[in-house]
Amino acid sequence: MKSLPFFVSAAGQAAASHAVEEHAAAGQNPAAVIMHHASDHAIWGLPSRHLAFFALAALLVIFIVRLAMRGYRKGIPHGLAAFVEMLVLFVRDEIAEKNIGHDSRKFTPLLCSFFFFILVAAFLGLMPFAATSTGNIAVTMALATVSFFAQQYAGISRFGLAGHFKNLIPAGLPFWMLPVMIPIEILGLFTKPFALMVRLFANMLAGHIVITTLLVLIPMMARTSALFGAAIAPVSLGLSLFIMLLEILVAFIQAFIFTLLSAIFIGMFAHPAH
Amino acid sequence: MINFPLFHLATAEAGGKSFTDVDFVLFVATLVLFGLFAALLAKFGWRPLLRIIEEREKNVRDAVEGAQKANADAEALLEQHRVLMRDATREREQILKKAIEEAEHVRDEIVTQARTEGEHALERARVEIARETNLALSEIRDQVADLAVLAASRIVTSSLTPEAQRKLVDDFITTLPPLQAPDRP
Repeated sequence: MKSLPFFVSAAGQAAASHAVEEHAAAGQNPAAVIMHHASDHAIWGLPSRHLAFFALAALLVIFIVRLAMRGYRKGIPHGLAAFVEMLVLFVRDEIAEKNIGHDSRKFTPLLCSFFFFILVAAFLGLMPFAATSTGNIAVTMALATVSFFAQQYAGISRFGLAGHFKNLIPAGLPFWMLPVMIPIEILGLFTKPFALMVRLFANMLAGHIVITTLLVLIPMMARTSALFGAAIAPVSLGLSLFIMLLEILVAFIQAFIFTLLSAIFIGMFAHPAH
Repeated sequence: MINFPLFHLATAEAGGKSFTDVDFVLFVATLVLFGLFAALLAKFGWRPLLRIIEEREKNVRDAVEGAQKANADAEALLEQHRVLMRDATREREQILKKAIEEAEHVRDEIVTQARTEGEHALERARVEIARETNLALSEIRDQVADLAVLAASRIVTSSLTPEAQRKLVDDFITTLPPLQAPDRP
């Protein structure tokens, strides 16, 4: 394939140029470009860029929280602290307190970690040259596993190991239903974190695939004719900007959903009667 | 690597690599890192932060409760004062009324007493006057008798015997009206 000067200049935008480089490397295959953009590979001499950005997001969250704690004067938050406090209070009062109840204090730090980590990781993913670590299913699987252990801990710490598993069976169930319900309930233990894993992963991945696809459209059209490329460029850039803005919203929504569902599941195991 | 066949979407073109292939090394590394991160953050981030927030919330709650208590105290005090004022007013009115009643009573007493005393004095004066009158009349009567006797003796000495004189005088006396006090005024 011949490379077109127009296509290089139209791809000046960071994400586009990234896609384009990969485009050239991956043998001009759009699917390979998208795959390359969203999947994990080595970066800066590190074996996994998703792990690198995961660690970066984690460090950033720690940094932000430590910085926020300096923003308190006489117990009143200033600047960043006010924003962080708003989110922390939201997690504590609206998510933990309402869904877990009186045990919520134990789980608030973990839920805050989920919320802030997923939020920051998603924002990091929107930066040029960065990667969305939560768009990798291994990462979300790890997060969901932590959530799974937290859910089981909530049940076991309250009712003991036997009590916890006995609670899985709904009260008043006819005994002949047991052979059906026991496998269903055991499956239910794992479908909860599985749903968390897939939801976060798919949401984070989808936006990036859409943005990359929109941008890949420019060189694809330009390959046919420079005029087509020029015509599609503003549309692609405009739409990808819109999706980028949407991704900001999605970052908040997914951080909220993952945290909320974790809290709801923890609450379900801590108060099985509900 | 685990493959979720359901999630094999349009990835065949990308050299058979799928987004749903789970990199187990990455999974374990992420799990360990997140565990470490969450533990660190809980210890040095969320818990101190939540402590600051809770402390402030407690302070605010205490301040509000204190203000409410002070307000209630002030209201109770106000009510107490109001009752006190009302009592004082009522008491003052009672005292005033009682004083007026007493004063009227005393005035009546004084007037009655004065009237009684005046009447007594008048009565005493009348009795005194009557007595003095009687005394004066009897004195007058004696003097009249003496004078009469004297006059008669002067006239009769020359012509009558002592027996005739006496009879004359006696006859005169018996003609006098009987002695009595004048009527009371």
